[in-house]
Amino acid sequence: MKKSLLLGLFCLGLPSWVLAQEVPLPARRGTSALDPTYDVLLPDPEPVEATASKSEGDKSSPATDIDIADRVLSAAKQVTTVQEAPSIVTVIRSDEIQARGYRNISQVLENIPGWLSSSNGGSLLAMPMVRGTAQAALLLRDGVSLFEPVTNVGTYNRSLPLETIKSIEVVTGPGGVLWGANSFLGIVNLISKDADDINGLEVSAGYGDGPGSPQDFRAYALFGKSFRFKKGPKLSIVQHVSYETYLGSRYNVLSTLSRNSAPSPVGPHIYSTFADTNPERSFIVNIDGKISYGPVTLSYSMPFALMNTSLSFANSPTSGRWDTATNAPAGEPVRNHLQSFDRFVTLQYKGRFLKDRLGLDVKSYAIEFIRDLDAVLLPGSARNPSGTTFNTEIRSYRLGLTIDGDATLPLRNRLLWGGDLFYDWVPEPTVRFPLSDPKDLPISCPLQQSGLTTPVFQPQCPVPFLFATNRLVTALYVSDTFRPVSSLTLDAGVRLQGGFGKAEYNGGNIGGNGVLLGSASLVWNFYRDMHLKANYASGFRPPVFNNTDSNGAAVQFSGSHQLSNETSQAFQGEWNAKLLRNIGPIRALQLRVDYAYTDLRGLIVISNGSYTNRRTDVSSVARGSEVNSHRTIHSVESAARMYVGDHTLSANYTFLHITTNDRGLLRSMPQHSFNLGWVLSVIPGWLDTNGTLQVVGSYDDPNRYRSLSLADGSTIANASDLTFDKLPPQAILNLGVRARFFRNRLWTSLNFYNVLNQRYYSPDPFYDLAPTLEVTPTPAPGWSAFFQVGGKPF
Amino acid sequence: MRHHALWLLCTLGAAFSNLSTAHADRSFDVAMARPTMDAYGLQVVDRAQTPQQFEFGMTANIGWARAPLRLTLNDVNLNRAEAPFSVIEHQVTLDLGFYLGLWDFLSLSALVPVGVNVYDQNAIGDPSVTVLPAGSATMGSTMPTGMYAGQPRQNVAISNVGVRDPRLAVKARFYGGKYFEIGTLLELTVPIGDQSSFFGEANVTFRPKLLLGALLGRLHILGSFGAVIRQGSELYEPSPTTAQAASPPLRFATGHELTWGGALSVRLHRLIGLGLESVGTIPVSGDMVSPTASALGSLYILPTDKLRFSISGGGGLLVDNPRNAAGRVMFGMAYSLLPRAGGLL
Repeated sequence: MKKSLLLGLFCLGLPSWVLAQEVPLPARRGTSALDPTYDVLLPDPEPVEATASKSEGDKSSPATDIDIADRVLSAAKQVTTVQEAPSIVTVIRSDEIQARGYRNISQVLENIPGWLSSSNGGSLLAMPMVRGTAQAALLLRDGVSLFEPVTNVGTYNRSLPLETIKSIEVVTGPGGVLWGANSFLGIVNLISKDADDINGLEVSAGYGDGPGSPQDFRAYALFGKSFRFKKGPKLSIVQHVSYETYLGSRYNVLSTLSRNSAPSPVGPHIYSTFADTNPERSFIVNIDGKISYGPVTLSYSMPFALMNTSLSFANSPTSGRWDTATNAPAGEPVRNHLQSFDRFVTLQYKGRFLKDRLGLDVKSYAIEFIRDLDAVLLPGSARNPSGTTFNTEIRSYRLGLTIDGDATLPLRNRLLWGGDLFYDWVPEPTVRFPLSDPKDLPISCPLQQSGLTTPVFQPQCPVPFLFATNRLVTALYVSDTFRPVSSLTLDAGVRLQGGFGKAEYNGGNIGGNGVLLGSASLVWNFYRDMHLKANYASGFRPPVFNNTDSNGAAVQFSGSHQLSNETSQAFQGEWNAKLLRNIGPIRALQLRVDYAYTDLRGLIVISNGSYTNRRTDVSSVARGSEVNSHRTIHSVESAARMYVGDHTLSANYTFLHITTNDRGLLRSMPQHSFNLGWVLSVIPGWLDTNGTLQVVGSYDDPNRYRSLSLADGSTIANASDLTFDKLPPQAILNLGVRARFFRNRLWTSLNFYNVLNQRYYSPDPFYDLAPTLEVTPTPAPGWSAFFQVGGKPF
Repeated sequence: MRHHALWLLCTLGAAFSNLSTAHADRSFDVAMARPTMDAYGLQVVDRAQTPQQFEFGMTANIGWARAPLRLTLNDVNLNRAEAPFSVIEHQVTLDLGFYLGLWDFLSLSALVPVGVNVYDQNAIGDPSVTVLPAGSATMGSTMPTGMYAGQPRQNVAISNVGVRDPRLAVKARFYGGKYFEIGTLLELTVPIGDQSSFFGEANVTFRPKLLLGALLGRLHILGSFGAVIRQGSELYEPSPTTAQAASPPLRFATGHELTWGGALSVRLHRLIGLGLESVGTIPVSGDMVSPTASALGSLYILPTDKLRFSISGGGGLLVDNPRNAAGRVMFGMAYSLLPRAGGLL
């Protein structure tokens, strides 16, 4: 990475005779994607065959595929390029996903500067972080928000089938004006393949193993075809079916004997021995597709899944029931999951009017968010042979309508406008404890019958997990792009968004439940293929239903309707360049360096057993810091990508410095991380190898250490046994090889993940200095391998 | 848990745990046979020849070393008597490098190294050992042992896998004639490596080298002389005796060093070459520092002008000193998209 930076700085100072060797770019000024004559709302303007033919050795215009790879289709709600977009955008296309051997979206994201993978609740939920902040990105599928309104747990897991994705457009930084609430620090927009992208039937099956992903079988079929009739518009059909079955990663971790779980006050944590995890087998069935008839597209996704993981809250292992006869775990597989998948139907209309000067994109959608929880609280032990588990079905729903439009105006202006209207609601989920006697539970269980001298509790202690609630959201936005001269683009926009209903917005700057956001940017093409960007962006994140309406008398922290929205704003600058175009074997060198100052206010934290925007514990009051939580982030995100011959090499570097007003420096985030990635063509068009080396610098994790022991060998970590665990740097190496035959009609690949089998740990996004929920470092998966065969018979 | 005999003895030392030093510094990179920065160097000896302008190339090296860090430490199993330990019993390294010629005489290169260590657990110890309650006591305790003694309590053990310090370098050729070449390599290492697990240095290091070469047809004789300028690291006895408690003995240290290298390569055939290479260091500052010297015999296979594979084997010449691996095997691959005439050897 340093080398790339040096290269970039050096090339700025190259003598003119060197620069003169560069060939002209296909996209010159005046034909920029930002030009007002550009068609904004049409689908991908580039035929897919153009990309495919380049990979097969056609080098007649070798720059073309590079430029296509830079095209941004919808993250900015207009067609532009990553260099010219008014925000910091990264695009990953399907060919890169396949060539690099990515198997889930978290693997894609962790290779983008500013993004890191993490998990929480043991391994219950994948939690990618942007600029060191968890749950801060808005996940979109074809522009439709999949923000889950109860827990803000996104589906960054295996339930998203990557083979259906044409490209992933990732915005780093707030995107509130265009995308509204919850585009707090980032946007992940998944753009699905159209029928023309597939044009036939694609099938694949594979099997993998290893402690990181044991006994993993996956198969899919993807069909896409367009039919053109003599009269009437084109009919396009895309249908995808996939099936995956696997076991959760294998770990050997300390087994919890007893602990004070939320919302109990902090108490001792007692461990028994190290135990192996043994989760129940998982499966995921995805049935999704879309049908387009002219300007109307119907999309749907109907996944069914049981997604068990190996570790639960407090990193408790799924070691299962304790066999008192053998004095060891009985070996029965354990159900342990926080399901994270979404079912949806969307209906979209896209059209252009007035000689293409006016565009309209209308989407209506119905979404069911499934976040069923069935998790281990305490694994079985000699003292509690059955263990303690709890379950609840968290199902929330959204009905909505989104309108986006664009208009070409005089004086080189282009106006984007639109709005949202949607309604979120959650029925009351009930939590149950199937293995426990209600009288042994540390919560108030409902009585079976009142008036008895000895209380008789209802079996399984059914209590509300959270209370039914809802929210109606309306929003309007307008954003103008103005190009006074061809090398300069100015962009400014505003959004007004309101939240109503039981969980209405609080603390908004317009009438309490209304939020006004603004953004502005400048993009200057100051020299050849070099751009400078300056950007101000803002966003907000309203409290989720689990913050406003959780039942503090059960297993949750107390909710509050007084919670205000969390707000984000960022001042960002970027320099980007394309250098060394077609010099020697080098086809292009792309460089990008961003600096961002990001300011987050009113972050919701847990204090005194409830959710709050301000920490009210004793230490905060004593320091006079009893004000809204405030986090400032300095970040440098840089990326380099070099196309050399048929090879592609990339490098990313991220520097992160986060301070909070109540905790000081956020030590639980790595300050430095970098990635190297490569796809090397061994036999062009036939055989290539790929690899990724992800290096994450060391960081600290506030935890407890075990200080006392008992005669039976169990150990105790008291509330005062605090330590900062020094988590070592990570070196995660992934390697793969792919072979293609019969002009891409048949392919096979073998990928190894975490080849060095580093047993590393996930960063702790919540930085709890008096650890209650996570008191030991959360281990990450070991190595795994996956072999795949695929083909396109017709 | 895993070393009961050791832990029982450790309980005897529990009373002395507060006497342990906090100086169990582990910020040493013990991979002393470091792959060259570009495809023109041999396995471990850099050559003055630079890539030509806009030549881009890649290198990959896998190395194995036996006992790359041997120290004399107190053995808690032998009543804290001094005993030799192979603190790292085996080490596997992987170095991935890229380089680019900016002009015919100047190039940039970067190399990212990672490593896998297999430790002697008796020397390393454990961050948390359970000491069961004795006699009528209802509560026992836990204690750290080995390298963890005397340090802030941790749940995390030394890592077996880690990133080492990335290397960045500029190479310049001052003269390149038919029979003689001379150049310099200015190398910087960035302290990203895992300092807690013998993978990284304490801080940035600067490693300038003067590179010389005599070219006698198929026979090349190479030499290099340089230095390592670094912040020193010191490892004190982690398990001192009672008598040593006030001032634990220094067991190992590194400071500034001079470096040397010499190689002889011969191209036997268009496809095959042979080489003898030797590299070493001479300490110039610090206590308990020691020189290193390694020798390797190499076989180079050149299937095309753009590609070179190499297999090397050898070991340390000063086997009683730390950082002199008893045995070493390296596999290398170098690839250039636009090599100079004559290829990569």
